[in-house]
Amino acid sequence: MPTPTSKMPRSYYNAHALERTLHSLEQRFNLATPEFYEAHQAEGDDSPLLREVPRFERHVWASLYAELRRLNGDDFAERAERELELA
Amino acid sequence: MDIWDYFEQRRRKCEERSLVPMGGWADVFSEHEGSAGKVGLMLGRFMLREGAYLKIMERVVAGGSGSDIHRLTYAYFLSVDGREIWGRERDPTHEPAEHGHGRDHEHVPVGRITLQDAIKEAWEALDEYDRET
Repeated sequence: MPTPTSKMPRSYYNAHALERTLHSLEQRFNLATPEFYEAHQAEGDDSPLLREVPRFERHVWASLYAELRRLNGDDFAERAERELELA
Repeated sequence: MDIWDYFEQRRRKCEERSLVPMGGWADVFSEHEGSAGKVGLMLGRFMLREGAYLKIMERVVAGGSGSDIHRLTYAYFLSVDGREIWGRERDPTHEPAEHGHGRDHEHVPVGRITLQDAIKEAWEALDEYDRET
């Protein structure tokens, strides 16, 4: 018996769509994504850089950036660079 | 199960608990192009009452067996009059990954939460807030 498939209208995203959303967040909060992500990872909720960014937007920003890095293969590239001692 | 079956379940769970997205349902769910129904995002804002919104994000991936959907990250936040007064999230870049936020943004040590329980707790948090203000 095949699994029933949803009839919900479908939408799709790609790396370009994620980049556009990240750009909108950067403009809204006047902060570059790598700076945001570093502060989010290192200091979390206590970072003064993030004071103006609501928690939900922080979560979305970090999640979309992680997703973009996954799509772009950045995680693989960094691992490979470490393994090959290129970085 | 692919992510669209999962999204359909999500929609039903929201509707059963009186959550309607500010945009249409088609705006809430998206699949990563080319992932063959394996990777997707849920991102939406749901009005509980005038000025009170439950904001939801899930980043999901289908398991290897195809029967399980995993939430890589999730965030459920209640915003009232522009202030976040309650939140639950899973963020693997933080320790512990699963945690919550209270009315003054303080960390709340809580574990994993289901969407159903998050909606229930958000409604309760809103009721409490309205009683006190």
